[in-house]
Amino acid sequence: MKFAKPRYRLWFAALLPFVGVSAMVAQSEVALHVGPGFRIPIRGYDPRDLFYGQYLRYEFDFDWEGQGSCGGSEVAVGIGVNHPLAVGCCLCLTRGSADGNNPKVRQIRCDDAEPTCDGLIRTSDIAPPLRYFIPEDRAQELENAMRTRRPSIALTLPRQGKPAIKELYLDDRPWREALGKK
Amino acid sequence: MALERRLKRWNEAGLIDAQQLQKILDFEKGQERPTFLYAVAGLGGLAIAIGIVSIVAANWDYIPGQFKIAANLLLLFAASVAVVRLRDTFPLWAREAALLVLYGFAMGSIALVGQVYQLGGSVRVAMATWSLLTAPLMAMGSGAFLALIWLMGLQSTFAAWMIWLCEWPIHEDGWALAGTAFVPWLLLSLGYSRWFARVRPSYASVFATVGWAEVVACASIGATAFYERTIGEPWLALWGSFAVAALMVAWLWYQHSKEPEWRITRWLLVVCLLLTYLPARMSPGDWDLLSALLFIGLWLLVAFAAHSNRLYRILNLATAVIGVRIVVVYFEVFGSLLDTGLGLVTGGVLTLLLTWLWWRTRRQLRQERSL
Repeated sequence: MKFAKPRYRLWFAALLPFVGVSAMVAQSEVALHVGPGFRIPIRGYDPRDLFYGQYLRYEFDFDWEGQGSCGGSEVAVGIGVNHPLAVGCCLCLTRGSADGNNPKVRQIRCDDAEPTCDGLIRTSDIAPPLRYFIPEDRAQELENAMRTRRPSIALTLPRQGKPAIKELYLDDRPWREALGKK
Repeated sequence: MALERRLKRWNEAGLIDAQQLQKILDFEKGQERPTFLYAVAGLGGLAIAIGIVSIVAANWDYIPGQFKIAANLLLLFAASVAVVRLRDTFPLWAREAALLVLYGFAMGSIALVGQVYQLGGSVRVAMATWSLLTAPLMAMGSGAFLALIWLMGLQSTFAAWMIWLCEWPIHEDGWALAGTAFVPWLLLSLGYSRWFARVRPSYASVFATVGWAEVVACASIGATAFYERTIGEPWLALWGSFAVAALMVAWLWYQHSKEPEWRITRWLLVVCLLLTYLPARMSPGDWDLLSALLFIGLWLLVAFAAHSNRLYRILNLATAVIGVRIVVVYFEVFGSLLDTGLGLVTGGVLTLLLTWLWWRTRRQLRQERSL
């Protein structure tokens, strides 16, 4: 019993990373399976440097609808001059089709979410550049495909937390299927 | 060898007898740690840790994401259990290496979750998660190499957050400066804490050494603030950081007030404190000469402190830094022919004076060592 206390401490210290990583996995799984799903077109954040290391840098290419009702104090970079992202605002996504492909988007105040909104995203959660991790050995192939096909991202929007990214699509097909096995 | 020589000298002077000499030597041999073994084992552990992160970064597509996650969790669990189970049977160097492997494995696991679930999150959040989850684990170690790697990990995480503070949309440069200037004082205070030195002597030693290096580096950078105008910058957080750092300096001064080897070192602490904070708050700008003089003055004090503590390598480094700074002054004063001429003559005289001082000090130290 003499070593009981330090031994417990050691177990706690050694297992904490495992517990923490398991919690991250669980949270990510829940986020993927809870909330409405959408598929939103994207574009490379900087065409001169589309692939930086092993991830794709992108921003959403929203189908904007009407004028926003949120007047944020600071304006985020990117996403079109006519529809800059305002800090502290939310995007209201409205489905145009059952699969949630290319929804209509309006910028609103987060606490004024309308019943017509099928999903909400905080602007701070999608401020570019966003990253999509890609396999190292398919980077060039994907870079070429991004230029010639219509890329989009499938995601779910949990009520709490950030959007959970599901898959990169090329011309309405998951990118692995669209490019084929290597 | 230095200890043996010194003991022999004491024995010849009649201060200790042959029996006492042998006892001291036996005791010190029992305390010895095979530094090379620890360093090599630590490097091996570090290589495995970096390798794991690199394999994860490759993001190979041949294995489905869910399988990668499951295998990773299984391996992480096995590694955690192994670290505990083998603690009693492994030698110390192997235990330290195992901790390092688990430390790196945890980082790799977090990166893998980020990749498979496309979290796309920032590096700073991933690093903060990693640092929090592994802090109790790394605190269980005892070696200097492990302490150094842990400190590097913690400071990298801290740096990632400070950079974020400076960037859009936060723009809190004052907080970033205050935090960056404060960390070295925290390290130094921890390094000289009696409690820390008792429970983790190697960690305390590494924290103190790194703390000193960063305190002097911050003061050196602080001196260059006189080149720019900082009056009017909304960096009020710096005053808060300064107040807490001043309390730490007062505590260190009090702790070592009776130790003769801290006589100059105490003043070095005060000078570093003032140079780190004050120019960043009250520089009117374009005080190039004052900046150069303060920088050289700081390093002269470092040289004196090193001399009084017989830290020869630090003395050599301080001399070299002063020399380089004087050379930089040459270039700064290039302007009209008169300025250039005066700058070169003054700089040359200063360099020769410095070389003579350094040469005399080294000779004096050699004589003291050969006695």
